[in-house]
Amino acid sequence: MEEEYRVNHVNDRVTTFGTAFLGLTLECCRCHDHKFDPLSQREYYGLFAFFDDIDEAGLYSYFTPAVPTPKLRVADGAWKTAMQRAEEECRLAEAELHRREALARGAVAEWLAGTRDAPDGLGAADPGRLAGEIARYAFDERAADGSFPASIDGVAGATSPPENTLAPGHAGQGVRLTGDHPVQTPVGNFRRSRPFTVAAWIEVPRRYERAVVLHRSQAWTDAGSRGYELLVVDGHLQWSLIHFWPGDAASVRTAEPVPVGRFAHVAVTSDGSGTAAGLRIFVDGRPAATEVVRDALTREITGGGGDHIRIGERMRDQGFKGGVVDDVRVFERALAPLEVRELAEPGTIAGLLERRPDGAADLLGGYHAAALDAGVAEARRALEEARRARDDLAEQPPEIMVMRELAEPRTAYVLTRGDYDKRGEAVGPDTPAVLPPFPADQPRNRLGLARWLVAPGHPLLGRVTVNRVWQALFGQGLVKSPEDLGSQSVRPEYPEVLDDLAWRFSRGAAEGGLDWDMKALVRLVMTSRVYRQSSRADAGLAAEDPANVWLARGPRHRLPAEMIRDGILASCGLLVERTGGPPVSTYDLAESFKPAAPGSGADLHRRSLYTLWRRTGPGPVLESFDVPKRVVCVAKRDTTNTPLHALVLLNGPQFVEATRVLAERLLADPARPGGAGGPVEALVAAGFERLTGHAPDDEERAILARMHADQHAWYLAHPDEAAKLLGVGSVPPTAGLAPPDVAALAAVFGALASHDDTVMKR
Amino acid sequence: MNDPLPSIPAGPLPPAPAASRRRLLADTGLGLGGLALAELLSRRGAAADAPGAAAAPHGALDAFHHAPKAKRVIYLFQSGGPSQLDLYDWKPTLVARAGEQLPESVRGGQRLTGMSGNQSSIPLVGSPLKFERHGQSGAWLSEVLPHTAAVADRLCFLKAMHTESINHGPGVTFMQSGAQIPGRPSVGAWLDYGLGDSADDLPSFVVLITKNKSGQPLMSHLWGAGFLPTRHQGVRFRSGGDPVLYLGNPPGVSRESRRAALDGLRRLHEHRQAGDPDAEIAARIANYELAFRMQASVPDVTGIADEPRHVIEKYGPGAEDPGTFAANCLLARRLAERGVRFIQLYHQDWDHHGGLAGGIRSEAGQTDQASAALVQDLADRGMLDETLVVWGGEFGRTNYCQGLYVPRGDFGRDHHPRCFTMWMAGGGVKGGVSHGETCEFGYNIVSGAVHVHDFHATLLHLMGIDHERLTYRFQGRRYRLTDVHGRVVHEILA
Repeated sequence: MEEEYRVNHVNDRVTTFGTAFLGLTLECCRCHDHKFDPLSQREYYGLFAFFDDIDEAGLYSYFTPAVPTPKLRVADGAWKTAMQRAEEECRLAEAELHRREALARGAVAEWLAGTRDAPDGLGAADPGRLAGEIARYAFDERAADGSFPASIDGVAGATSPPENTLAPGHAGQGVRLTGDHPVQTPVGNFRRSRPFTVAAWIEVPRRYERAVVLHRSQAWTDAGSRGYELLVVDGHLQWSLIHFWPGDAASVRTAEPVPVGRFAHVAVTSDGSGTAAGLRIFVDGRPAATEVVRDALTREITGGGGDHIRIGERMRDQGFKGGVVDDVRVFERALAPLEVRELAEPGTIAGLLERRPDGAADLLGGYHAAALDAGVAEARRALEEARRARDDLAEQPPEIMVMRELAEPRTAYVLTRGDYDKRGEAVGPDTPAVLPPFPADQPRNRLGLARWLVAPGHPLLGRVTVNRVWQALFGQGLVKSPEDLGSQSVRPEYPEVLDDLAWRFSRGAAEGGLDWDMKALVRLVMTSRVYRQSSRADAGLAAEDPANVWLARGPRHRLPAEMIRDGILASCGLLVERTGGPPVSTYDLAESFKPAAPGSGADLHRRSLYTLWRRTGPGPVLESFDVPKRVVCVAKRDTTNTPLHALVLLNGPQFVEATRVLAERLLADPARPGGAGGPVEALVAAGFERLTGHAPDDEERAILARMHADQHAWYLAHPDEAAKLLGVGSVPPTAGLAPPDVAALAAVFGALASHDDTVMKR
Repeated sequence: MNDPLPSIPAGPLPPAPAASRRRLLADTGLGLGGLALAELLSRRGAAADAPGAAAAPHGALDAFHHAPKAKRVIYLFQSGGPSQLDLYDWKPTLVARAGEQLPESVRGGQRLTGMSGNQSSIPLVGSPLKFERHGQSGAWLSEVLPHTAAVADRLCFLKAMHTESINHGPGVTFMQSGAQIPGRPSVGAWLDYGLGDSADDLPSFVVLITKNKSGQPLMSHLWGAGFLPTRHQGVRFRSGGDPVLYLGNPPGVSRESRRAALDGLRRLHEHRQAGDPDAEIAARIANYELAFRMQASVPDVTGIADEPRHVIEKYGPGAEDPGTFAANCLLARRLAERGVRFIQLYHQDWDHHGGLAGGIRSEAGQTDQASAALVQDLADRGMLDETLVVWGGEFGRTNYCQGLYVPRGDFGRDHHPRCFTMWMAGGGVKGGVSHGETCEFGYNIVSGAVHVHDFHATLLHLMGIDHERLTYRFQGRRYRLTDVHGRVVHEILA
């Protein structure tokens, strides 16, 4: 159910908002009033209303790669320039078309006024024979194979399972549809730039909530409805061109319900502009008044499968059950209103040409321009070409999902017990009463909500943020539960510190505050005496305050995954600190549950921030060090200590390569400690200091010397193995160094990369 | 050069091995980091696969709530929703009335699932497969399950399972974590959290997935720890290369040279520890040694060179091809023998919306023999009584045809949450029984309904846990696997 998914997405946003900015467990009041905090279910849906106004389907498209809406096109300057040019070309071509049409209409008007001869083509032998028709099905008979023959030579028949049967039609027979079986035509794979017309007589037996009359698409939600479609929705005809429903589509709906219980002639046209204004619906040969449902088509409507027009059925959609369709006609151009009237009332054009009544100039002029005038036809071809070029360009830039409010906000409701379909009272966007009032001068949308959050005196955002920064630096927050500062949280030992920091963080410089400057906040905490204390505790303190609640000593905790990886890369001189750009694939992504090929060159050594991240499937190295899966908002990571860490740090190519490169650089450094050819002990000590952050003491030097001696002896005895170790990774071995020398040093550094001091902050 | 295992270094740790893990952590002020050492301490001397009473829990629980019947679980998850109507739940009425519309009196106005909910016709369709009765219990089984039929008297069929979700993602997530939306701990993670690690040299929760399968995707959150510490999540053994991430030494590093490097590292750690006693370092020393042992123990369990020919053959073709369902069943038994507590298999591609007759033959052909062999093999070794084997998917399939009905033609069935069949064997469950009954249309439950929460409650019960008393505090309240539901199905307990 689309709505079920959509509501779940909105709930996710509300919960995330609560966790990240308010430090409140809002999710509790999705189904009922909060059991502990002063938050009502109604207030939950007041916040829900802020995040409810998005034009989303709640589902992605299985059959097409379309980016779900709302989305943002990510284009560079060159593309934008090219697009401006392409749009200018379209405008010029449109202007030329309008000029040509005006000329053609003018010629008809003059002819009617008797001031000139009939324009070329007008009054030809058979005005009822309309140009551009590519398929027509009368449904008067069935071939032996069950298909319906086309009424145009050289066009294949329309196929259908036997369940769709012949039934009395508008003229002769029509086809009665089961709703589960399609009538499949061989035509209709139109691009959005192509003008076209589809017309038919249809008998709508009852008022449908939803019924697919005809369409060109693979499926409904499974394809984001990609293609075009004529539906009955709540009894009205709805005609749409769609890249991804609902946010990337042009769609119009008739103001009046479609006639029920009799045959009505229905024609739909698209003029190739891909806009709602270019879509028309005609009922019984007359243009129907329509309202715009969507007018935001930005991309192509072809693709996704189901390339040809199908009648009466669509995958997992509601078909035209019990409806009858007769005389389906498809034109590769947008018919003029007079031509559509001709379809519904044959002979109309001939009659008008003969009688030439007053007021016929508009209809006949339009007909002449649309169907007969060579200059208009040429201008139309040029315009289609210009639009096609623009549409090709429009396909190029990647797109990303974003938040964007609907022009008209949706109404939000209290959902009884949280069920998506159990709507209770309507609620507008509002903030909980226990918190400061929503500012009267702000809009009731996300912008206003953001301003409410950062308004001076808001009790939560500053504290919640400061607490999370404290947690990042100390391993735990002043309030231990960063996602819950409500009544169920543990009261902080030092509420004054939290208050003071929050006050400073959230106040402007004029008041002596930091004006929300995160970097300044981090500096403030890190340069404080409490942070700079030693993390060591004597036995008495360790026993009395094991969790360091008193903060009588400095922080001590395992570093987060990204810092461990980046720290080792930086220590080894491999970290690429370039900022920005697309995500990169590291070695370990090849081992991921959703594998990706590793990148090359600098990509392998970018900061972990840039490692490709698939939801639910983070990179395995980062995952082993407890990065969250990003399924739900997590304000505090786990910190585990498992055997897998040893395997990752000792055997992962990322770290094997990095520590080998460190060995090479130290060995090859002309300014190496002790000078060129200086003692290797100095190199081991230098590597130790780089990785662990402190120089080895005497005993450590002795242990390191033995480690190095062991490895060196082994690699001298196994030079082939040394060469293999040097081959790990993408950075080529440094020439001119003896492989056993490098390998021995690398093996020691490899072990030190997993040293406690490398992965812990103390 | 090879030193023996390091002794547990002196430090601020209380010496009593019987100290509960929680108390240990509280006493030493550890984060979760110190767990591994704490476990080694508490587990020392209690070999996980020792016969007799199960080792005392050393996780969140320090005693069982009641005597456990099962020590471990092997869960053969069949992803996609196997059709109970073509495997276990024989409905001659559907054959007799094939092509007729599902009577409104049976449907009772219930919502249909998304894929067929908009069909204007919902024709009944009977199974094209032959059913016969098997064993002393007379269990009805489809012709595609000949091996299961041979062990029918050891199985307990739950024919009135029901669930709340109608699509795969939420359905599998519900079956594996008790909630439809990802984020809750999986069953195996709850057990790991509650009872602590179960094996010395192996993870206690291992996941095995049949390789090269298409069908509905599996997500790693299915064996995730949810809001529990991540160490409780399942460890997926991969079928190719290293079963565990970076298990093997890199090129140019031998076991011998690694040993030497680890010895040096340990000395550095011990030196560090002496200057600044910290259980975190002690845990790290122990973990690095465990990792070193795993480098030997994991290949030992995943290689089957020591497995007798006749046993391999029992599991059927594919048992020697790592990553097949048969190979995974055999590996599951080997893991069970070595003390792994929760072994989760996944076999995909039971989602037969079309081409059901052919599809179900294919999937049954890949799973029937090995599933039955696993039950028999465990029984032969005297392990079945203490090993719970579970077979089942996330929901059942409809008694009506998805899409068009063509007599004797190809057809499919849509998702059906209102009734489906699973089976359990061993681990304190009665054998040779069929619990629960569906109506003659195979659409509604008549008696013996077992909800997913009931299944979870029963599983925990068999493991010695009261499902209402294994909880974890998160987002302001206590959570449990069964949330606020669940009833132990006492009727099936041996």
